[in-house]
Amino acid sequence: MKLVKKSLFYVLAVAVALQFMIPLLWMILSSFKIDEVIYRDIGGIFAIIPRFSDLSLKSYTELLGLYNIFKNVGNSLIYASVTVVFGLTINSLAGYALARFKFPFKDGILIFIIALMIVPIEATILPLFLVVNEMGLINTVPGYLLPFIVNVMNIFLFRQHFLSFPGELIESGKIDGLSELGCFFRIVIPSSLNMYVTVGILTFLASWNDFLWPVMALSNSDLMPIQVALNAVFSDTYNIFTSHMMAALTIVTIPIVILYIFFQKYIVEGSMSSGIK
Amino acid sequence: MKKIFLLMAALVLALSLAACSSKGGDGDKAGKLTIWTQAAADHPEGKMFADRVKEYNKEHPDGPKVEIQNITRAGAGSGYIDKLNAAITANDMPDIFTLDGPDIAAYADSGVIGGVDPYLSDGFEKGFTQAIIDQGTVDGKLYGMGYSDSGVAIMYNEDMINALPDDIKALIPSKDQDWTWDQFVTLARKIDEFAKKSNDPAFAKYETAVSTLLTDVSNGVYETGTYFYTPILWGNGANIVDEDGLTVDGVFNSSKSVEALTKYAQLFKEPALATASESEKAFHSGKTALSVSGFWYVNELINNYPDLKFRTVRYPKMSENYDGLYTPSGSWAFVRNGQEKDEKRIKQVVEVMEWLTNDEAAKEYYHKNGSIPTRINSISEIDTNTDNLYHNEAWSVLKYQVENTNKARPVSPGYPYLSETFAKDVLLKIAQNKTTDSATIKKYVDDAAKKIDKELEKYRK
Repeated sequence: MKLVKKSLFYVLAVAVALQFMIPLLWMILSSFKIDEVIYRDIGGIFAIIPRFSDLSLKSYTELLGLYNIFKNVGNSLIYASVTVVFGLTINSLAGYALARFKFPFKDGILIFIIALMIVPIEATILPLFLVVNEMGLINTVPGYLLPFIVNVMNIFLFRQHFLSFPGELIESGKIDGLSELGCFFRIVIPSSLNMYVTVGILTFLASWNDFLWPVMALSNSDLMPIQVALNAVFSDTYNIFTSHMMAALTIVTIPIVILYIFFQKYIVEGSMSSGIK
Repeated sequence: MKKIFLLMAALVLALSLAACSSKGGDGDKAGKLTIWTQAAADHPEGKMFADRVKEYNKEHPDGPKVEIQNITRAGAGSGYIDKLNAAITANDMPDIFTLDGPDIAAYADSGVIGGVDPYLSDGFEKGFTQAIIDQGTVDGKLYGMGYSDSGVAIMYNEDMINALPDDIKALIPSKDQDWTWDQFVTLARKIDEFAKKSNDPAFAKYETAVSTLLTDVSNGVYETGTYFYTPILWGNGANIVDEDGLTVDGVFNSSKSVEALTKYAQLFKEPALATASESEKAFHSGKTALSVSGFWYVNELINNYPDLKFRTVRYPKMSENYDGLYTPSGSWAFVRNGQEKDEKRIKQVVEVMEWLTNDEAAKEYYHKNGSIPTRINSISEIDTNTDNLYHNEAWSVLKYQVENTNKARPVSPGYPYLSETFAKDVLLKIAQNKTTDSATIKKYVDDAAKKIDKELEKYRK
């Protein structure tokens, strides 16, 4: 009976996993087909099972002949990494201060931060452009990166996490001669790695997927991130090829999949401890 | 930890210095003209503009230095348009930028763009095709100088047609022949009747007779519907808005308009010849025999559907006796910053716009990107003598239409709403409800006209 239950569980688990895997599989396989074959196979089993005679690198060679996608992937990796490093440091320090210290207007600042969380990016993009333009930072990398380093949602998440952090650990650090910042970097951060990884991945994905702000903030095509390059492929007036889109999407998905593979343990633990879904 | 802090401080400092050193990119405008386009920099379209600007700077060493920024758009234009609108708000507009043809009127109405005709060289305007002049003209003033045109024709699946009996085959016009919407519907009906009882392998995947691309409208891309099917009104002497761009009552809901839409509706009469929810790439995959096809189909079918034998004929007229312009056209165009008041600078700007849209430019754009020429003298560049017969036939038809029958979409400051309402509340509704009677269609059109009229109220001064 136990064996039957276990087998049933695995069959169900595999079925659910397949459900999530099929679109990804279809995307990867389609990237190796020409459009005619993609639409011939669509809806049938050969959409997700390869017939090697149909597969070729044509879409990749054509796509990479038109667009330097790898350059854009490299740009995005740099931008996302810088945003994660600066974002985690600044937002966690802000969250730590809100959770542990007493200072004037603390509650007011917290309410302000929570209120800002509900304002959609579309509502702030124009004022943001005007401010960055006024600072003379438009069309510069700092002008692109700075506005999204501070993130009210992440400050709030860190604040909630640090509220339940055991104060005794920090007190013992102080007794051992550590400063407040020393305690933060040597005790708090190492004990909160799951939270940092979770917020880091959310920040990375937000930066990776951003299209509107880089188009607004940057002009030099050599500096454009991957989402801008993707939209160039999707908006092509004369060569709207599904196979090109699938090839571009496959290239773009690889770094994200690698990220998940390396950090999946932290993602699951962090999601459970912070309640993020 | 101190090391981390020092590293971060150094990074912030470096970023700030980089910011300061690159400031001034848009600031110092003297001696420099800036162009923004919606083309991706890496795409042939972006590259052809960059090449053209490079040539200008080389041939005009004493003139202002022209700089181009190709800004990627998403879908119909977001991203690029968002940035443009932000720059307008920040009063930091480029000297020259691109707009999609139907958007020109709204920008002209708000004073964002300026007229070019007083500054043009003698006879330059007359070098454009009529559709391109009409697309860029608002209240008698030329604002937009088109660099590329477009077109729509009817394509058919040659294998399916070859399987038909001779009497049905005879209904297909040659590539040089005009035909009417009624003839088109009759052909589709005959094909449908044959397909449903035929065992010929050409019809193995057959779903409906005609691919209409109305699925785009169902998916919110309303402009496809208006772009593809406003010609059914034009070809019957009707329109969706009057020449003033602001009057719809008595025009959009006229008897001629209802008559044309009733004929369009025959496609959806049971058993339906077309559907608003056709399969993705239905014509490409051999699921329909006929297709209302944009010019981009030619490249797409030749490159990615090598097994599909497609033939091309003209877009059908609604009324046999109609002799005006009626086939779909239009694309993006260059416009100038209307806030500029310095006459000398405006002259320089228009000179650059001429360089970007003259006969030579049109030829270059065709050869580098396949852009349909907008200049009368450059249309002959369209190559109809290649090794590929399907290419040659399709481009013969499209070339004829560009030269003789292409018509600009209505010029109205309320065009986006007009287009959406026509596509969604009339074209799609007819298809989805399979409405074929004039009385109900008249009601759809009256309701849509009322909605549009209310929207256009804000543009009436």
